[in-house]
Amino acid sequence: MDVSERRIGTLYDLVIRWGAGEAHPAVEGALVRVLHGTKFVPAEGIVHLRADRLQVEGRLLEAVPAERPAGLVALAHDVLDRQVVDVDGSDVDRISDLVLAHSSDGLRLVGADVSARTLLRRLGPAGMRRPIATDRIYDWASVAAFSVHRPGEAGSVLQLTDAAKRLRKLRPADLELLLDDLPPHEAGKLDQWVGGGPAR
Amino acid sequence: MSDVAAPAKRSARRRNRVLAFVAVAGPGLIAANAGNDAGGVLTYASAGAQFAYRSLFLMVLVTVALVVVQEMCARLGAYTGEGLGALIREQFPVRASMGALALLFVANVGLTVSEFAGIGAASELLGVSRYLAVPIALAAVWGLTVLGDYSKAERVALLLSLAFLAYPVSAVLAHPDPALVARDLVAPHFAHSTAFLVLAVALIGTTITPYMQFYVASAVVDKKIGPDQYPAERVDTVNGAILSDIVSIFIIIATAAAIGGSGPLESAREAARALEPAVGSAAPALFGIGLLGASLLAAGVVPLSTSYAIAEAVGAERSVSNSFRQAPLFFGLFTVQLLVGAVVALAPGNLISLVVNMQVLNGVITPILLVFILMLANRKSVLGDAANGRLFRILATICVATVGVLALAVVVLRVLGKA
Repeated sequence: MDVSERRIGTLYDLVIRWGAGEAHPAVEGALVRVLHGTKFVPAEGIVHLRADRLQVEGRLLEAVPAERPAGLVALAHDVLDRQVVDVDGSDVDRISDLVLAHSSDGLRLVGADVSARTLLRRLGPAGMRRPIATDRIYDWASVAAFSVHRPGEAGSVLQLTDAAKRLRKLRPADLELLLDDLPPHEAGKLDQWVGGGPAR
Repeated sequence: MSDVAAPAKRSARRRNRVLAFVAVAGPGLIAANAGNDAGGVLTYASAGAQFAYRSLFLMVLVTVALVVVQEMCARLGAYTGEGLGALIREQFPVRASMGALALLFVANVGLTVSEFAGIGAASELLGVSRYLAVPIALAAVWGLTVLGDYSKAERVALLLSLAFLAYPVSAVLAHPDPALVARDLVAPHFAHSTAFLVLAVALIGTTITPYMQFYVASAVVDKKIGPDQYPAERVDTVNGAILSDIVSIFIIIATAAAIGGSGPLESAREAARALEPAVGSAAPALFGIGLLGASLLAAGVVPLSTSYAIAEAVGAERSVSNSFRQAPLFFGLFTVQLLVGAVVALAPGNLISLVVNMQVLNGVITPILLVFILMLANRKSVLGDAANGRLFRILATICVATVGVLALAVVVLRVLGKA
C-alpha cells in the first residue's frame, strides 16, 4: 500500500544484490504485482515492511523480468525453497523461509530458515502465521556460494562455508549473537524480524 | 583410403552408441519393468479374465501415454539435475507441492502393501507360507538396499521377472483368435459398463504409476546422467516402457485365451492358469517365480521413489549409494514403508481385491501428479531448449486430460455408489 494506506498491489518478491562483498546483503527493492503487470520499488521507496504489509512511497518503476541485471537475486524466485549444500557438497536442507532485519541503513537479509516447523507454518492459513516461528536459522554470512538457476541446468543452490558447521543451528535466543557479528556498517539495532520473502 | 576407413568408423560409432546405452541403461528399464509388479500382473490378468481381449486397444493407448510421460520425467531429471520432488517444491506453491507429495506417499504406501501381498501370493504358489516368505523378503529388500549393493539387487530382481516372458509363449500356444486379437488391438472400442470403466482406470493406474515417474527422474539424477548422456537414456526409457507394455499385453492375451470371460480373478492361482498352454503343470511355479521377481523389484522401487521425492523436497541427502548415517531421512522413510507394507500384507483378507483397489487409487492420483509433470516439462524456465515442443505438448496434454477424465468418472461413480 502507499503512504495514504491505499492498496496498490501485492508484494511478489524482494531483490538483493549478491556478490557485493557484504555478509548480509541489503535489499535493493521489491517487486510488486499491480493490476497491469509487475512494478519495481527501489529500496529508497520502501517505507515499511512487515510480515503482512509493505508500505511504499514514490514512483513505481517498470520491472523487466526477461533481462535481470547480473548480481541481482530475487529472494522468492531464486532462494526460497532452494537446496542448501554443505562445504563438501552434501545436501543438508531446503530453505523454508528467509529472515530479514531492519538495520540503520535499511533492510538486510540476515538468515535462511530451514526448520520443518516453518515449512508447516507456510502450509497453514496466512492469517494464522506468526512473524517468528523458527528454530533453525543459518546466518546468511555462512553462505559461501550461490548459483542462480538457469533453464535446463541444476536449480539454484546455496553452498555453506565450513564455519556453518558450527553456526548452522541458531535458535531465536542466539539471534542476538548473530547481530553482534554483523560488521559495523550493518550493525544497526534489530528492531523487528520479518518472515521473509512472500509466502507462496 | 576413405572407403577402407568408413566401415571401421561406422563400427566404432555403433560400438560407442552401444557402450553409451549400456552405461546408462537402467532407470527407464527398471522403472517400467517394476510397473509389471504384483498389482500390474493381477490387474492385466483380471482384464483378460473379465473382458477377454476388449482392453487391448486401451493398452495400446496407455503405452503411448506411458512412453510420453516416462520420457518427460527422464528428460526433467537429466536436464535439471533434480528429481520431481525437488522440482515440484521449487516450482510450485508450497501447499500444492506438499499436497502432491502427500498423495504420492499415500499411493506408494498402498502399493508397497500390494507388493508384499504379491510376494505372499507368489510364495504360496511355490509352496512356501507367506508368513515365512514376507519377513524374509522384507529383510532381503531392506538389507540389499540399505547395506548391500542396490544395483546388483536390482538386476537379480529384473532377471527373476524375466519369467514373465513365458506369457508371450503362452499367449501363442493358447491359440487365441488372431483376427479377434488384431481387431481389438487396433479398433477403438469400449465395453459400456461401469466395471470396464473401473478396470480402465485400474489399467492406467497400474501402467502409468506415479512411483515410476518419480523413480525414473530421481534415478537419472542419482546416476548423474546429464544432457550429454540423455540420448542413450531416452532409448532406455522408451524401450523400457514399450517392452514392459508388450509383456502386459501378452498377459492379457494369454489370460483371455485361457480363462477369458470367466469374471474377475479371485486368486493368483487362477492368474497362473494362463501359463498352462506354455508350461503345463509348471504354470503355478513359473508364475510364482515371475510374480516374486516383479514384486521384489517393485518392493524396492516403490518405497525408494517416495524416499527420493520427500528427501528431495526437504533437501535432505538422498542416494542409494549413501549409508544410513549419511541419509537417515531417506533410508528411514524407506524402512518405515517396508515395515508397513509387510505387516499389512500379512493381515488376513482378500489380497487380490486389495491389490486391484490400490491400482484404482493410483489411477485416481496419477492424473493429479501428471499435471505437475506436464507443467514442469512445458516450462522453458525449467528445461530451456529441452522443454516440450508444440506437438509433444499437445500429445502430452491429450494423454493427461484423458487419464484425468477417466479417473474423475470413476470417482463420481464411486461417490454415487455405482462402482
